[in-house]
Amino acid sequence: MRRLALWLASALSCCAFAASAQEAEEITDPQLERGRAVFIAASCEGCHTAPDDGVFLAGGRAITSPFGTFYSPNITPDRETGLGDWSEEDFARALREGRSPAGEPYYPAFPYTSYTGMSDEDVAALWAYLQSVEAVEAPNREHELKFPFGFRLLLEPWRWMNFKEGRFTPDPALNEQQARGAYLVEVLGHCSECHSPRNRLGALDPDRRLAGTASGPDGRRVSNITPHADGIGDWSEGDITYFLETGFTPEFDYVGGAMVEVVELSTSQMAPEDREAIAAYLKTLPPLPSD
Amino acid sequence: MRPIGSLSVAAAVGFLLLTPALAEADPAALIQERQEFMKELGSNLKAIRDYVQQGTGSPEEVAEAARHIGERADEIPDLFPEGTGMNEVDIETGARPEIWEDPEDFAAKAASLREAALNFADQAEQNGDDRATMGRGLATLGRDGCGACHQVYREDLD
Repeated sequence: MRRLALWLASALSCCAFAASAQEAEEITDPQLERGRAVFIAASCEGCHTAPDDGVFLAGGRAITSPFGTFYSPNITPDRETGLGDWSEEDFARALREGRSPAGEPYYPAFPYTSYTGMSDEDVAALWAYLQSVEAVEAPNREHELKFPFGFRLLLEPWRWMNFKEGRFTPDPALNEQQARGAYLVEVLGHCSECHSPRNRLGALDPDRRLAGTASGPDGRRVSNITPHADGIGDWSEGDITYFLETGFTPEFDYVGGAMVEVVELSTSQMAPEDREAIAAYLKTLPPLPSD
Repeated sequence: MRPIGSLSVAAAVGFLLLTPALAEADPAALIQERQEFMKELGSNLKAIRDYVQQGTGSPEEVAEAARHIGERADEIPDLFPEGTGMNEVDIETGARPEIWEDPEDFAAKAASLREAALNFADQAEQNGDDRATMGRGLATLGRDGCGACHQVYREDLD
């Protein structure tokens, strides 16, 4: 069971090596602009672009696990090998229900467990943005999974136990900025997927959310980001904001591991007010000690 | 400027004299030395950030701090002798085993820090009054100089 938890954490690691960052083009259409902001906040690029000058969003990044290797799919609008033949409904279903257009369940290496909370407006904007990127013909590579994990049917009981579909509703006690932060942390940023320990069934432990784990992606430690002394209790909101922008901690240490890529491709490119919202929300979390 | 005071000079001299001996004799002492080394680089980065954000210090001091970081980057490979990784000692260290699987790449990453820091120092000398540009340059220095290496070779510690 520990292996399962490790595998899930590992499979969810979208982030091991820096991928080629596409220069932001001049975007004038407000819908595309919003879509690009969602794309950045949701950290899509890291997983969907192969390392070492891989083609932007053409997939092929290997995500290794004790259960085999996953290869991320092409999400450019190519008709043959990408999302070119998908409808917006297909796309919404993938994000919200974790199912392909044919109805097959996705492995939770794709964090639909968080994306299920996305707003209608953000799903539509992200779809518009993904349709605007260059279509690239790059066939998806089959996952190479060990027996019996190749049987997708096994995902159905896992989903039944561990996946709750539904739009995100922030705690009514949060103010507007904190609620925005909650949406960024819990839904788009899918921070919990790596920063929370998992129970023996591979589900996020609801009582330990964001308290860090010793066995995160690739078996590596992931920091506690609750406002506890073991976590970021002595960081000010300004410290958190500056960290998300630059990767520098208040002691002028520099972030390590998978978070390096998250800072590079996601948090450093967000609007400053979104970084501030994340900081405001993290400060409202219950302080939890590390394991 | 304070972070590059006599203490750090003494520390630098200490490294030169003690590093090879320490590695063999006492991994604990070596790990402590390298953590202090990293903190010393951090204190110089913090001085740069304070200039960028608050305007304390001067562009000349910023350039000096960056040059200091660039020059000390050469010391990094010797601070990571075999036997001092996170799985080999009981002391808390974030040194991933990958360091010793690809020592050439690890050394190349240290060389990248040198280059990034010296570039930043040049920028500070030419353009140091423009604090907004310096702020972006500091972020780039962090990403290319620190992040490229930490991503692969550094375990996050609580």
